[in-house]
Amino acid sequence: MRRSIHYIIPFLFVCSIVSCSTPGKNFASRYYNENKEMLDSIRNRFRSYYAIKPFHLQFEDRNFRYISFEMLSDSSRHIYGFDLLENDFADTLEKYQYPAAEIIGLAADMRLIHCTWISKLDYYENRQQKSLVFISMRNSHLNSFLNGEKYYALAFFNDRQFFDKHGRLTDKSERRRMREINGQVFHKITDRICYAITGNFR
Amino acid sequence: MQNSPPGKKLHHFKAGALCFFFCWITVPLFAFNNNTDSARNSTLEDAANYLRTLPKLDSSIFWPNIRPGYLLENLHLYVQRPAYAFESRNTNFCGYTALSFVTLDHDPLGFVKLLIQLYKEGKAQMGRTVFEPSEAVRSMAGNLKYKGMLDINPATQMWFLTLADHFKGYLNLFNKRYDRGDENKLWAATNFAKFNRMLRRLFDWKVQARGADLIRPSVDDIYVYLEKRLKKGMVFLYLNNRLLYKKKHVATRFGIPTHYVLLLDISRKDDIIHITYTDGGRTTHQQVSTGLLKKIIFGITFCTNRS
Repeated sequence: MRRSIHYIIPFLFVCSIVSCSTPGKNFASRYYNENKEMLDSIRNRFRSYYAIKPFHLQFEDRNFRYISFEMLSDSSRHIYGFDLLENDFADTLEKYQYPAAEIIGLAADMRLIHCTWISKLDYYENRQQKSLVFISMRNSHLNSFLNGEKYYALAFFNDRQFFDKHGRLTDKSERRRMREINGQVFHKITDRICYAITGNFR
Repeated sequence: MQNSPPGKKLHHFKAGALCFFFCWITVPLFAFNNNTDSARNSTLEDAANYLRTLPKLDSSIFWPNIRPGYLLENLHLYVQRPAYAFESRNTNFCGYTALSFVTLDHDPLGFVKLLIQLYKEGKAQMGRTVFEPSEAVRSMAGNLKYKGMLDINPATQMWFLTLADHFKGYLNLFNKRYDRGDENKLWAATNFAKFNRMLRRLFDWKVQARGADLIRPSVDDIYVYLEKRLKKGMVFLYLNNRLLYKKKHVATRFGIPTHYVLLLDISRKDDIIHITYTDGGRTTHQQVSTGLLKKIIFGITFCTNRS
């Protein structure tokens, strides 16, 4: 028994190290570049459909079957849940004058790359309202027993952003001040696209 | 109240005694008389009229980063579009947001006057509480960034930071003094007992609470319980926000409550419950199952008028 403990403890230690390690910058950049076409297309389509009528879209489950659709207006938000195997999602979209076929197509593409959430986030610079598109994805490489669920989050800006020498997103006016999105420091992919590996998917 | 220099602080006992005496002999500034819509202390129109007649505000030595023009612009937003007044993102201010909605709803004029007094004098009284925020929060207010609409609402920044600076619970034990960035850390967090204490001290309401930070309330039928309470008064829910949005991403997760909302309406059709609540800057309508509702709610606070 005593001897077996000598093996069990180092084994558990190695397991914990392996499960704690998270994929680094290489994974993030590679993931974006490998899925660039699809991600850019999802972002662009979302922006154009959002302009018709605002909404946010979320996949609720690990099998990407159940959708949570948030209908947004100036002062209210309606959250509805749908099973993609049934027709009520399309019916509801049509009822509320959303471009149904287009949004269903968007959801199908999101499902293909395991995208769990897409939304538009407003922010302010010099009291001027600006916005970014926020997308988060599940990826089996990011999950570990000890660290729990992690998501690969992408922020698509309309304007060029500023980064420090480590590639971290910074404030425009105070370059030494880290700029967080949903409480997370983001890193550079391009001048207008950043990523984070985060526990918060929305 | 007299102006006092920023560093000068009242002795706590004296302040408490003064406040106690003041509360006994006068009607408290924000003691709401009823929880029904018809018995609000003032209306948005009263507040709008007051703001229109308000003489020009000078810069405040207490709040160096809040320009008076922006403050007034923000107060006008309170009366024109109240839903937008307390929207914030990426902060731990949700408890203060839920509380602020009822403050503005029940006495908009009193609330606007309170904020102007706080801006001019660096201190103000609401209910049994005398606010005298620390220099750390006074110098930060107006400078919060990337918090959604809160960025351009300096009055809301001032108000939230003042509340978080004044009220402390066990979650704030290890981070009592504000440092930059603490608005989304434990410094701003609100445990259930602290939330109920805030309500009791700020308003002259009868506050009944069920549940705890880690233990769900023992209620037979949560829908019936909430529906009954909602007919008689105001209901705040302390719930697990992660479970509310992310339902089946992870197989198991230790659920703890993280969010406060003000419940506005509840109805049931078959096993699906429709809830309407204020959350951030928007009124949210959502469908949930009875099981999920029971699972996410850790605290229910029910407020009624004492009279």
